[in-house]
Amino acid sequence: MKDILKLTLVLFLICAIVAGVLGAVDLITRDRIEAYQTAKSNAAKAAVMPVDVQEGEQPYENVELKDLGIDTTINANGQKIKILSVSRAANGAGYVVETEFSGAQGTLVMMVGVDPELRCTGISITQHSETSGLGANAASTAEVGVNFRSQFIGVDQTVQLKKAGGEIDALSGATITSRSVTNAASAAIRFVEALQSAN
Amino acid sequence: MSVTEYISIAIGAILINNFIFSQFLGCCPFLGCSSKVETASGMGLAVVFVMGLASAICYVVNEFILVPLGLAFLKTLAFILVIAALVQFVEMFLKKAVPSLYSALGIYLPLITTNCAVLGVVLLNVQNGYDFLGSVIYGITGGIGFLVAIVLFASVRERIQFSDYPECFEGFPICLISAGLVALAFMGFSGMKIF
Amino acid sequence: MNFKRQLKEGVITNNPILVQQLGMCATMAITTSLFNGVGMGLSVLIILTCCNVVVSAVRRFIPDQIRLAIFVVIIAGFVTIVDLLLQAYIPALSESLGVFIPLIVVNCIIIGRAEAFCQKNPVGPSFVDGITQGLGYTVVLIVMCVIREFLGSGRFGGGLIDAVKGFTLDGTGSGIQLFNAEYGASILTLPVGGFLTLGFIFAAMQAALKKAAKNKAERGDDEEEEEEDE
Repeated sequence: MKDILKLTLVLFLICAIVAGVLGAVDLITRDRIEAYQTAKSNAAKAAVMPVDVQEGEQPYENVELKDLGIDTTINANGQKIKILSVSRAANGAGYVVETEFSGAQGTLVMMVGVDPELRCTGISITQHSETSGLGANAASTAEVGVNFRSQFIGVDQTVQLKKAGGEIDALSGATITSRSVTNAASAAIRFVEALQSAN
Repeated sequence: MSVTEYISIAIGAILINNFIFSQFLGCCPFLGCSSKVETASGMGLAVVFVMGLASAICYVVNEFILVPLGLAFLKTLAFILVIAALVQFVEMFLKKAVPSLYSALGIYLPLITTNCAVLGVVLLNVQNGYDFLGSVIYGITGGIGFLVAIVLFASVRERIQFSDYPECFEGFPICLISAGLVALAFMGFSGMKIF
Repeated sequence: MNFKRQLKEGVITNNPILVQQLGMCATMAITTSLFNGVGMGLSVLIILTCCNVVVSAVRRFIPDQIRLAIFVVIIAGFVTIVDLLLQAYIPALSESLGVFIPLIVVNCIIIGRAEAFCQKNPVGPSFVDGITQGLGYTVVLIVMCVIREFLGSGRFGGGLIDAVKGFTLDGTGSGIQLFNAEYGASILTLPVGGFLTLGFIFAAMQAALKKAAKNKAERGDDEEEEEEDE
């Protein structure tokens, strides 16, 4: 019995010391980690909707989706698109919608900028696991990727691939990826429409 | 989360993002404990059990203790302690209930504690933001993925014993190469559409 | 025990990956660019050294029955510290290594060294052991990265060379393109490549060790004595 007490005490003591040290490290690093996370998500949003603000001001304001009562899963041309977050640009230039959907290989996360006239201001893929050289071109910084994404500037919610009678040229060899990206852009615009009419 | 999401988590964990062949979690017991199909299946079942249980408990610990108290940075520490205690429990249980399996698994049972698949699954649950049911499903199906992989690989290994290969590949290297080939087969699942 | 001998043990004759066969998961998973490999190797080196020193310093106070639990707690502590520091100061590395940083907790190398070495040795040798074993681990990671990067995408030093050049640690940049990526065997950058590359490195190591042992046997005991003199 005495042994067990002693063992428990030693283990508890070590855990307490380690937890204390970790608490201290967390205090030091927490601000930096948070600042980095914000900077990163702001950079991704700025890629689709640049906003100039004074230093110290936040360029984007997060819209709380839970209180709105809008369905965050949107069915676009038969594909389910999940809306992860929406933020409003501080200068009233529109909204940045973060969407999640499945592509040809795995899940993609994409930022879509939408202006108040319900036109797309640009798309940027922040996460993907598409085939390199084919679907991955949708996210690449090479010419083919930039050209593909720039097609989305100015489109509205009826956006479609050329194969389906629309205006977007699919990436060669990556129709599935191109179609899901197009569907996500359309879903994001429709979500903003619902958001505006709810307000 | 909807039913289709749960199904896609399950299929993803077993086939598409198999813990061993595409995420490299749990390679040590996978390579160390796969020389016989019997031991491999025992080990795999123990892992399924521990991973399911660990996912459930760690979800509760994280959601109701660590996050409300703002102690999320302690999660690695808390999770590994939970897992260590759990493994101890499974070990005591097997010793009493299935002594034959207990003696077959030998030293590998305590090693489940240091199986990165177990710690990996609970950390991934938090990272992917799964709810309670989602976490448990991911844990169990991830374990099943491990079981499938290790049993398949053990059968391959039983055949390697009778095959001819260069001397310097004796033992570990040939295992790695054949594991690579099995992984190549699993890549075939990667294009599968879920929903 | 001296430094040279321990170094030889850590890097070659008792290499944590190639001889002790520990810590394979991360070795295969993250060795896709030199930036990741060096980052992971150094993280493990730092954690291993810290844990070795602490475990060896408190080894007399640890009750035998619960020593593993205490080792794990100490290791988890250091791993979390490194994880938080990386997230704060080198976020790109933290992102590309992902879940494999917290998973260093269950990397058998660290608990294995605590159990096999630091329990029985004073602080000094344990410190050296941490560094040499960590170096052994890093060397294998670097070799893996170089092979997989070169054959897989025709590059060398992805992320790292740019980091050194511009003093930025954002992990971007593709290093030096040695040949067109289209001609690379891209299978080596996929998970399968991890298994295959490590298998071949293992085989090469086994062949080399066998040859060395043979030479040694032929030359007799001369070398043994020589080594002790060093």
